[in-house]
Amino acid sequence: MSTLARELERLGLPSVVITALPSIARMVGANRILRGVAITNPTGDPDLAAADERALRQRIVDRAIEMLQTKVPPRTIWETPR
Amino acid sequence: MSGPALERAIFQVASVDSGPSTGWRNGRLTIDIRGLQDELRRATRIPSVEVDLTQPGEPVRIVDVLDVVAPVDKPGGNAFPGLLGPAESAGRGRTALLDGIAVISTARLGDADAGVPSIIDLAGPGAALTPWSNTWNVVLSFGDVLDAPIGEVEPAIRLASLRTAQTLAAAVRKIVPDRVESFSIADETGGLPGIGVVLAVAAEGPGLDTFVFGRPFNGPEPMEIDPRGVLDGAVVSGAYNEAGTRPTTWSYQRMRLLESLLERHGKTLRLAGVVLTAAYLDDAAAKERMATGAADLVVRSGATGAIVTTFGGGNSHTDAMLTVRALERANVRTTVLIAETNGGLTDHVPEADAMISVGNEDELVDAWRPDRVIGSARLPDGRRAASAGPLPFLAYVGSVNQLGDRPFRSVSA
Amino acid sequence: MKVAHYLNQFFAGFGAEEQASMGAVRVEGAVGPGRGLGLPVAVTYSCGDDYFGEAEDAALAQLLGWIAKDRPDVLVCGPAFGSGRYGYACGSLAREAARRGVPAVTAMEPDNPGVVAAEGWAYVVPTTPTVIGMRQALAGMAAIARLLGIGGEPGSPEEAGYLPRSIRRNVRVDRLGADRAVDLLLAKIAGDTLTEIAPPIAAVEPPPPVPNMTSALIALVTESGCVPRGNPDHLTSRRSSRWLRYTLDGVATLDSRGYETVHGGFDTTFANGEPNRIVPLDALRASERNGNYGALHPFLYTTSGVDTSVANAVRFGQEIGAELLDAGVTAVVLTGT
Repeated sequence: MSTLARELERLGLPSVVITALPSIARMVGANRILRGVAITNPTGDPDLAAADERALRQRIVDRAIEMLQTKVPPRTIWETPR
Repeated sequence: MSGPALERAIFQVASVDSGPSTGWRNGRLTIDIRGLQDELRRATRIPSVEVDLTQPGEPVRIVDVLDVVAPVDKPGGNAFPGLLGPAESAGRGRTALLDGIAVISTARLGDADAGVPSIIDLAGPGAALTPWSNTWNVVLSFGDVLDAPIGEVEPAIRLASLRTAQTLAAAVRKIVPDRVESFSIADETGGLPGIGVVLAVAAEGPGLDTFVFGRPFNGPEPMEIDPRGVLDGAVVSGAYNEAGTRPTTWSYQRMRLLESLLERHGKTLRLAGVVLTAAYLDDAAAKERMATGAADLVVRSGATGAIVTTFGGGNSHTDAMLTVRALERANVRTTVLIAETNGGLTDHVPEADAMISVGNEDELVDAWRPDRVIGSARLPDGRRAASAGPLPFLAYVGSVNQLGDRPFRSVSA
Repeated sequence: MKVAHYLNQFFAGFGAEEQASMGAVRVEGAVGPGRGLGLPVAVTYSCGDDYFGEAEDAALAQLLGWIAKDRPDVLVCGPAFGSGRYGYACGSLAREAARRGVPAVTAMEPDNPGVVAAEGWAYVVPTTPTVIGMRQALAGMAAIARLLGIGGEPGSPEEAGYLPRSIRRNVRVDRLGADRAVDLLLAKIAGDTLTEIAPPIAAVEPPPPVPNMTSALIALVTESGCVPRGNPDHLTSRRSSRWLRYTLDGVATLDSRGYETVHGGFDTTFANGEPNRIVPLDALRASERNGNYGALHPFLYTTSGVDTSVANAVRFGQEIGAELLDAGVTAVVLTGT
């Protein structure tokens, strides 16, 4: 996925990758990387009550949108506050 | 660029020893070491000066090395224009060179790099890394200068080494040389490919300067220079850190790249010229201007290809790559000489598709215990010089020199 | 000689994806493929691929702690074949062991990110993408391990059958760099470009940030293999050679009746129960309604990222990117493993 994202970036499209394996994304060369929750559910958490999970997902997405508006150094990893 | 030839009169040193006066007899150089020591103390005003003589292959480690100079003399002229005398042109007429002997200066200056030592090993596993395990060495050690203002002490030491080199070579005045090399650049219209050289130097202040005709070369524009001038004392090193990758004065005097191109001129290529660039400039715009300016000069010289050298560490790798890119965009084909690290290349541009590896500066050389250490008992980081090791190639002066003087490269393991 | 072997939860026999979050365990002797190495395997370590990926520091601490106590002469990891998470675990563990003085060898497909993770510290034997090459992979690792275990070093990559490492070793050659430079340049001018240093893969600078998000068109791309339920276009669960496009026009959320995940590389239970957990459409729609950005591009781009070759991933990016640019898309959100 990071290889795919890197090609989008090469074409000039700012791209944020949400992944639970940010180290791999970084190694492959993605530039805007947002840590996801888990490999099986990067933008959710089945252990939370539905409303809490939905709120978590919203925070992740808001953070992703924020990252797209932020100038970052190459291969930057951001976290989402839980 | 043709003009009169540079004639290098070479005197082969068979042995060097100490004696009551300095003189040359049938390849044997005798040096008045005591006299030299006294003269150095007087001239530099540095009280603790020692002169040591080493022979090839002695189990000696020299530390805190600043510069290495080949003894040269230019009767009626100036061996190091702008430094030992007026800044007249270099690269023509006759210069005497003593082959097989080096003048090595050592000192712990205020800005010494605590991270990476600057050593020459004359025996052991490090001996193969530098040429001076095969030469007689006159080692000038300047002690107790750490707290002295570097702006005063560095020029004093540098001029002292140059003067020593010239004085030693003056011993062969009026003696017939063993051989004479002639460097001329005939006008060439035969359609041979024109090859230029972009020679990167840098000047960032005392201890980090390169002198061209006696002045630190910092741009802001690139500058054309006759290659024979480079071989004839016009370029002197005052840049002492990152020993493995940076040039020494010796490496300009004996620059194989220029000698090789001069030899091949008129046969398989036309040497179009040499352009000096200043590396380590502060801002990206200045670096880009230097690169494109150099490309313009190379294009104007009619070159279809150029060899780009790298000066030293990381920042200058960016300069080398910018230069490659500017040349390729101007349709000049390039190769670049560059050192590698354990982390790969420090910088790269897609246009750099023909690179010469001078070696991996991070590779470790096995530890070795010399019988004697010249320079200082401890390395700048505190380790005992006699037992420190393994040390990376970067610590060995000139071992991964990016002018291409060494017979090393690295390969994937 | 004392050999230690690392396997993921699947090859060690603990279970498949449902055990991917399993913590680190240590077992005496050889397990599963370890028996096929033909080496004296004294101990086998294992942990779940997801656990390693998500709690790398803890997993490494545990595993390296055991290695320090067990003091093997050599560590063998995998083979991981095309599995990115497993390869990453193998490469990372091999690297850290080698750094600490235990020589290590692993095996995986050359495109596997684990090769980069090994960072030249460990030897990586190239394998097929799938377990079909198990026998050769085990033999390749064993040959190198035998040498490492007695303090030896394999020969060149070509001779000993491993991928060239990022470590570059100095050799003395007949000719000075300067003479080689002149020759290389004359050859290049004559049309033959050679290099002594392989150019690195071109990194990409981060594109400038979106200047005006309130009017931005955002596209959603996933490599999680999220498709309409029933997988009408038969997206393969592994080694996708294509990407698919599905309309999001009028779709406010991805519900489990309408969508599923066909990715073969992770346990899809949670994703199938609530597809927004891998493609956060509901949250993106909420942001859109709120005016946090201009509009969501009305197509979801999907592929199944496991075992995707680098060449295909590059092609997908170029093709999808061209389409997005044509459509006036401003920025992209990607999700996946």
